Amino acid sequence: MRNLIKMNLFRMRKAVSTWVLAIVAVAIAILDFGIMKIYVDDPFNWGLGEIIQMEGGMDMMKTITGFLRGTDLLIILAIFVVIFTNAEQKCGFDKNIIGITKNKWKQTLCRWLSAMIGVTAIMAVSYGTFTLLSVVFMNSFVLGDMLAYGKIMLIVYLFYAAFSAVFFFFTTVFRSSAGGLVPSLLITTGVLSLISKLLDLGANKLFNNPKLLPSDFFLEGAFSAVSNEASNGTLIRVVVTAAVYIVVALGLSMFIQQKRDVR
Amino acid sequence: MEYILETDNLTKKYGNINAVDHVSIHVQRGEIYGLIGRNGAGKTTFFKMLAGLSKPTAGQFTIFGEPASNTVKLRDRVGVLIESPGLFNSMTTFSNMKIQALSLGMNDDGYLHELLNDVGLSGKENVKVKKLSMGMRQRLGIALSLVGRPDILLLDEPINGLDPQGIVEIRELIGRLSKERNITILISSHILEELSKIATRYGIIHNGQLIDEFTHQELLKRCSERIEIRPSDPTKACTVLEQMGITEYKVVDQSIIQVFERLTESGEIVLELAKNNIKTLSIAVKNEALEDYFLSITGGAKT
Repeated sequence: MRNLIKMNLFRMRKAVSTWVLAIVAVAIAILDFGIMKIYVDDPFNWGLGEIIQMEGGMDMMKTITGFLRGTDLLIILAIFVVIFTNAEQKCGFDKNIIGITKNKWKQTLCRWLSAMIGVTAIMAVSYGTFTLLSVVFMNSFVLGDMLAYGKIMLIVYLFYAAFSAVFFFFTTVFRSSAGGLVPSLLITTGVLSLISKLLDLGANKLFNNPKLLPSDFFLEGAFSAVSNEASNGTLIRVVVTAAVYIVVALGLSMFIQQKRDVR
Repeated sequence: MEYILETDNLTKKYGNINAVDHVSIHVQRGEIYGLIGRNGAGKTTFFKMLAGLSKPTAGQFTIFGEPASNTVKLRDRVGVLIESPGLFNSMTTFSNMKIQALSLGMNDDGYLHELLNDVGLSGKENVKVKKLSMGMRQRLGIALSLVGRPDILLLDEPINGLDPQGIVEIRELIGRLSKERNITILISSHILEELSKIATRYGIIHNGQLIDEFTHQELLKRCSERIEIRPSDPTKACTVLEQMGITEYKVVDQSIIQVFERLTESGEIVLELAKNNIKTLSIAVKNEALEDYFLSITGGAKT
């Protein structure tokens, strides 16, 4: 498995798409920072900057987790995961190496683990850029509760892993970049949240229980609930939801790859 | 007889279609085994099963005497080039080699350069694959299959789409690999003429079935002059031929007898058959080209 991960990382490093997407991720961080700066400086008196203000200055946790929870970076990661994990099958390279191991699921797992290393790197570059710009260009920046900040960051990262596993699953099932990208982008852009809201309405009517919200268990629904103001119960629910998505999406991808012939 | 690769009734079904139908081949160490079949005959499916890319529906195979299920550790001793070479076009020639090497746990750049030199791609290490010619890509594909220092090479249609010069280059390369590295090679093609220049043994696959298996010497004999007789009773006619001392003959399609010896004695054969109350419906002396021979046994038009 170590060999396969080393191979995947070499491939990732040599792929032009990796660097292009990393640059786009940095550009998004700069763009998002610019928008935030406009909100805070508020030249048009919109009053939006107050959302991320706290006593003594800007709330770092709200600012950065707000950036990471946005869909811009998630879209970049969706594109990265789909392109990276589909590359071997697209060019036929998998035919050269897939027979090496009896357990094809191991190759699948290695591919996802390698993709997660890439996701982490792109996320770190983007996060680093945003944080650096915030520290340099914002006059007053309050760190706040670092423990709570770390906890939220870990949960956000867990969701990135869950989203990556789902993107990877679609790519594995459809065996094409387009097949992987379309559902992945529908998820990240929030189009599918319309369906989850409809399910909420249906469930409410059916069981006459306004607390029963299927959207809470949709990945994007659970992700939107991640915040430092969320209760422990909510955070536990979202963590379990993300973990279940990782296990199911990854498990199914490995199962499919193990059982299926290589084209 | 030591067989390095043997298949036993290997079968692959897609729905109700038998893509590969109970194929049993035997490949000896050091051989160049040519698997010939028209497009869609089942060659690629057969190769994919041997390469571990596709699971057989029935049957089994052994590599180095070990059942396929036990040969995971041996798989890196099998180099594979199935259809077109799987290459990352936007990466350099050397990066592609490196990726293959890393997947096998190898980290010997010197050996990779040596391989590129062997396949005639020395000096092309830093050229992006998309800038290579079709022949060069095919040679790079073969170099990739050699990375794990294999004992067996599975080359599926390696000359497909190449110009005459490219075909000659690949043919020479395969011959050299067999001689210099003592690699057993299983190669497929739909062009018997080409394979006949390098293969030492042949299998003909048609509609998923292995319809014939023979050596290079046998092929030459089959394509040489022969008497073709269509007797009224082929079974009885065979007995008569044997009584005449003729042993080099073959029954084709249960109705035609091909005799490969005593080619000037067709008159005596007809007379002897008549004595035994066997009518000779037709008789002719024939001499076939390799492709005609291939078409005659696969029973169809050229592909």
